[in-house]
Amino acid sequence: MIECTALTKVYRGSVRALDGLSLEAGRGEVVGIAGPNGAGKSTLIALLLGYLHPTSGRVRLGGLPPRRYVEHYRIGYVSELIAIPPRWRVEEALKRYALLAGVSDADASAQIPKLLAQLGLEEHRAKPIKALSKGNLQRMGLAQALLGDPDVLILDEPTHGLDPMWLLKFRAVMRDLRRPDRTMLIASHDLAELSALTDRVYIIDHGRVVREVDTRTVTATAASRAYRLILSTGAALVPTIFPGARAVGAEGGFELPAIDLATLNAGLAELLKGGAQVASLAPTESLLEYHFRDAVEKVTA
Amino acid sequence: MAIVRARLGRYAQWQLRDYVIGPGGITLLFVLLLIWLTASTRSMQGGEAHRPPLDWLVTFVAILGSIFATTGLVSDDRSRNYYRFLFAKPMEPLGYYGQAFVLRGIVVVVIAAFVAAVATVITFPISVVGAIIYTAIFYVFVGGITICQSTVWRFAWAGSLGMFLVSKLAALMASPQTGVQQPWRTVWIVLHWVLPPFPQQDRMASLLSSAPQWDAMAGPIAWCLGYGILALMAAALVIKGLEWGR
Repeated sequence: MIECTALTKVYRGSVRALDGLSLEAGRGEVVGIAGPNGAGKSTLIALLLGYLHPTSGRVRLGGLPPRRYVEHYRIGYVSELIAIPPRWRVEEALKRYALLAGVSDADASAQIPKLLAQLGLEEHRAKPIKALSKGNLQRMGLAQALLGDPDVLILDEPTHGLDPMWLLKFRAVMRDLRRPDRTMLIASHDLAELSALTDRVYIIDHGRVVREVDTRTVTATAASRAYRLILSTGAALVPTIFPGARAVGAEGGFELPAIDLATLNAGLAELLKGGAQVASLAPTESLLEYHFRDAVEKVTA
Repeated sequence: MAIVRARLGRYAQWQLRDYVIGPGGITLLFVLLLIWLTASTRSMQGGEAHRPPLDWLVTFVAILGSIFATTGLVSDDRSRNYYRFLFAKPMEPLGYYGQAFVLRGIVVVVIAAFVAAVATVITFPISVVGAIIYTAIFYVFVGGITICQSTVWRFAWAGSLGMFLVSKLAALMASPQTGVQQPWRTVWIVLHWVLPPFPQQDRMASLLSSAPQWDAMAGPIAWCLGYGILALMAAALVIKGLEWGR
């Protein structure tokens, strides 16, 4: 559904925002885009919507050039910057966007109250946009994107400004939005969120895809990772079995240095044999965080 | 997948509202104020009180009303990032702005017709039909130039007002009667021909009378409309190919 091939965008002044980037997202997929600041995420999204023209390479949405797709089919887009005229009122803005999204009056009458309720905007329906808090404005951005139930959703930093409660609710909303004929692309700095919501994540840096991570695969990487270990008994054994382990937090808490799975399992077996009891064991960073750090560090090096 | 299109026709009410509670409303209030000021001014002629004519107010609406109706039409959405949500919807920017341009033009023409009708009642007759035609021509001409500039910068009103003043000055300085020496006279002549034909406005004034002189006005009308249509075509090309930003 979304296809970018060898996409390059050079701005005036020869700033190379994208440099031969290729990626794809199929129907039914939720694909994430992660990258450090200035990696090219916003440029990529502007190209996907046809707001910018590529210097070279190809972008296709549903097999069509972006503008042709956007102008003929529904697409839901949340930008990092929620820009809605400040005098418009919440419900009025949704009515306007519904007309522009080609939603019939009957569908709009059903969808708008539902979206207001789902996104906690009911009590703000009569307020002007300028009176909304950052979090409410962000939810307003999502509400307008969902009008007309589009088949393609492009979300740029969709949780920017949401409070922790709404972050959790947002994940639930996102899970509900998943369906076999819908393609969702989420660009975010929040790797935990991308891990929780996406099927695959493209890590981009310096305008290129530096790694593609399958977030559905829960099997651990063979590469070395650091772990946080908490023992209820047998803490004294840790420094000998895991040289370099550092005591952290409460008694029995350790941060193990980067080790591979074989070393971890052998060490754990030895700990248990010595009478230790493991209360908790978890990698210090998620698999996606690990890949992100590893990929970006390699590019920087 | 079914093709969907924005319901732009229904959206017209919102575009109209945005204009009426914004620059359109301000234009109307200003016009009402000027009518009131004019109506309360009387001069004595031959022992009788006379109110000054209001035909200049139709010109005011036709030129300044057109500038204020179209300045910022594209550039505001662009500079304030409103385009991001607007043009993620199934519509072409050209259709959206084309409709807004036409709707605003209709309001400007209605205001000019209102001025002509009021003038006919309180001072001396101005042809309402003539005022409609006169304002429509100027809306295409001045509005075209202004929206064309609005596709590339935010201060289209300043550009249009600047062109208005310089073209009027160029017409004056290019005339042999002013005695401007060469090579400056050539410079003024070139400017007079290159800049938008605002000075043609004087030659179209008879449109507002009950007996318009069509023969004398055909050239100026064609020149103004031609200039406006070219500017509108340029605006359409820019909007079609515009990079909206990151």
